[in-house]
Amino acid sequence: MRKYFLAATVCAAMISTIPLAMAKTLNFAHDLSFGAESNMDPIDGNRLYEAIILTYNRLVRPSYKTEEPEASLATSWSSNDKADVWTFKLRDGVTFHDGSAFGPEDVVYTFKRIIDPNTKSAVKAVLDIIKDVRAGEDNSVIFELNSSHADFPLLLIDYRARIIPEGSGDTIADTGIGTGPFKLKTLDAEGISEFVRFDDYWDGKPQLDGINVTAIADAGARQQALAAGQIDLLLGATEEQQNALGDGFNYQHIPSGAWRGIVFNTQSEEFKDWRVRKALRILADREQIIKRALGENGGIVSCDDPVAPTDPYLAKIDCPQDIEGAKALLAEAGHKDGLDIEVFTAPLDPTWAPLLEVYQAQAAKAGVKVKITSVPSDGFWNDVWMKKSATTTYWGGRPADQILNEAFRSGAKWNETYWNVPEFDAQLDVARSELDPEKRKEDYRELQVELFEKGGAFIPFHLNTLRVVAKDVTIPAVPSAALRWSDVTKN
Amino acid sequence: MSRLLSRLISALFAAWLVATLVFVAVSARPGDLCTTMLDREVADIQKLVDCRAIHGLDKPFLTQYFNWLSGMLVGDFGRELRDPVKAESRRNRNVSDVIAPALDATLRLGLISAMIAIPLAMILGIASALMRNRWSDLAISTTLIMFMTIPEFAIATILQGIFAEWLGWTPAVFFGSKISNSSQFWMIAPLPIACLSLLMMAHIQRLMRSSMIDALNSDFARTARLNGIPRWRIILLHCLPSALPPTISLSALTVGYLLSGVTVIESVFNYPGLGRLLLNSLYDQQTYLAAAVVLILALMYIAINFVADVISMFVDPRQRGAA
Repeated sequence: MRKYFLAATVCAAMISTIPLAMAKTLNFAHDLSFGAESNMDPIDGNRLYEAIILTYNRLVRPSYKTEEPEASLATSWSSNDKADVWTFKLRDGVTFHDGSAFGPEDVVYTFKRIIDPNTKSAVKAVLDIIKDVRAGEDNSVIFELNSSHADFPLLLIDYRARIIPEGSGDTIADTGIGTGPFKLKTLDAEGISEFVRFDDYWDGKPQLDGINVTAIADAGARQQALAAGQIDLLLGATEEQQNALGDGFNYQHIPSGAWRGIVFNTQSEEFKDWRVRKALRILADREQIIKRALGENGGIVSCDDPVAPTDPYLAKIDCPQDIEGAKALLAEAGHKDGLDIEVFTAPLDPTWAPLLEVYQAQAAKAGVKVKITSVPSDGFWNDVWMKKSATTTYWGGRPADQILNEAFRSGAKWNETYWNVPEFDAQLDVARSELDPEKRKEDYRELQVELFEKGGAFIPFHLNTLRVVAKDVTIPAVPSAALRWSDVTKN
Repeated sequence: MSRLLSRLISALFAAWLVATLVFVAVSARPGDLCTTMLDREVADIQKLVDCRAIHGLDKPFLTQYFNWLSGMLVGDFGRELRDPVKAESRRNRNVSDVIAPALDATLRLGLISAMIAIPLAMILGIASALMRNRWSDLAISTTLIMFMTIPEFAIATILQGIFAEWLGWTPAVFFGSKISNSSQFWMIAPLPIACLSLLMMAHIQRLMRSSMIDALNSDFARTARLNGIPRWRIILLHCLPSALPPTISLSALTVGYLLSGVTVIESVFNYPGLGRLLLNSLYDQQTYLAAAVVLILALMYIAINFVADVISMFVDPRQRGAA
């Protein structure tokens, strides 16, 4: 009798520790990549990304279908003829989680904090174009820019450009007060951070009662937690995990805009001839590279185009494998007996090694002998990347204008191919200030075609993010940064 | 007594040596902790100089070493290095405060595993010896060797698959930054304890079995049998004391091995112990925190071996006699 009593007590103790609100509380994990310092400040380097997407809103947000901006805390926007002064009309009746009203002063404070020279924020580089921001008439804000930018609202889609209450800069890292669908209850970056539904959310009452975001650093442990029903979502899963988890889940392959590739220094002796560079790119069978390096649905073919597959400015370019074309170009450039190249890499990214191995085999068919040199990870970005004439690279997704300016404008800090073409820079300026959307699209298309013809970046694919979802959870198949969490449901 | 003293001196010397090696390893890494903290701002020389002065990294190597060593003697492992401009910043948590709950969690896990695995392995070893070369002996030995050869993460995954996914008896991983109460511990602990126990048992069982077989075949056991002493008395009072000392020494070594395995096990179960803390501190570039964890694990290993030596001396009269 006594042992049954003991067993019952232990069971009761175990059951009592299971959260009662399980039924309508969504659980997912983060990988603790920013460690114990992870916090709720959206512009801090250690922001807890999985949390800030729940608690804050931006002025504009990406549409579910494309990366075009859509109304969020701003309901409409317009610019002057030069596109260097922009006015955003703000949404009425929005409140922050602490009950205070949202207004132009909050927007002005948020953006002045971002562009403040003393603020150590990476998003400052994106929004440095803002010269001044001030409150306008009739619940609006006015942005004055340093130069014309026809797609300025696109820049405000940046996942860090989240609106915080006026004067909250010193406390926001702990309080997490925003206007988003969920409000912070407890923050424990190394444990469970709890969020509860914000009933006064302007975009409709969220479907879930709450969301728990738990730190699980080990990828295998996250997979086990999903398999055992402890979490409902697995973000950034791999194809191996998909195979291991089997049919009991829904799988979403979401274009991320992130890309991997090999960059050739266009100013180096080896790669200064555009025919050599093009030959090295068109010899590749990109479908095969995706299959081997990422798995069947792991990515989308890119024709050396850094612009994301969902970006409205993406150019349509075909790039089938062309071994004969590559050989002819090499012969024209004086390499009719073949070419030896050396590509430097490091074990920093899991896709680099398989990408290079497949590329090496494909290049051999065109008479190009690729020597792969792997260096230690810790010195790669400082001592190898942008120092050696051919290296592997990776980039996260960015809007077209941003990636073209960051990676291909002459003199840009991360112009890793040393693409130094004044005409290209001039056209970037033209595209940025062109107010006619069709003409702007054409300008950006020409820039992408130019990169495919003569550029130094071999970009075989854009990555898909794999999201694994429990069967009882309904979640739109869009990137996390675009997701409206108030739409997510759980049965 | 002098033997005990010499063991103690050896243990203290080993502890000092490990502490020194850990400090040298931390100091020998390229750059220093300020270059890590300042990241891209490291180009600002004045910031670098200020940061080094604030955190005492501008002092001579030996001064830093003695400060670190003297701090450790009183349980002060210093502070984390996250805020480059203010040593007492809230961001720079006290390393001892960070380690204490993790150490407590790991000790609980390790001690309970050892308390289960060591006696169980010894009993199974004795049972195998008594039933040697029968199918039951073969079954016990084969099963334990199988668990010994499978990597710890694989055992953990198998157990998670069976008990968490399939049967749903226990969570697969722990949710939380620390264990707050016993019910939380007992909810997650069974699977890690089972893993660690299975990892430890094979070595101990194998040695216990062979030592026991040697003892059972010895002259004194044969003489005792011929004198008509009951079998249980021969086993418990004559053979077991003879077979125990080597098994105790091996158990200590195995617990040491367990400490290395605990890093993987804790990571797979997301268990908030020293192993998980070590991995997270390395990802987080908190070198002093990682060094402190490595040092504590090493000191635990030394302490366990010292205790095992002492127990062996008490159990085995020959070792006492050598004193």
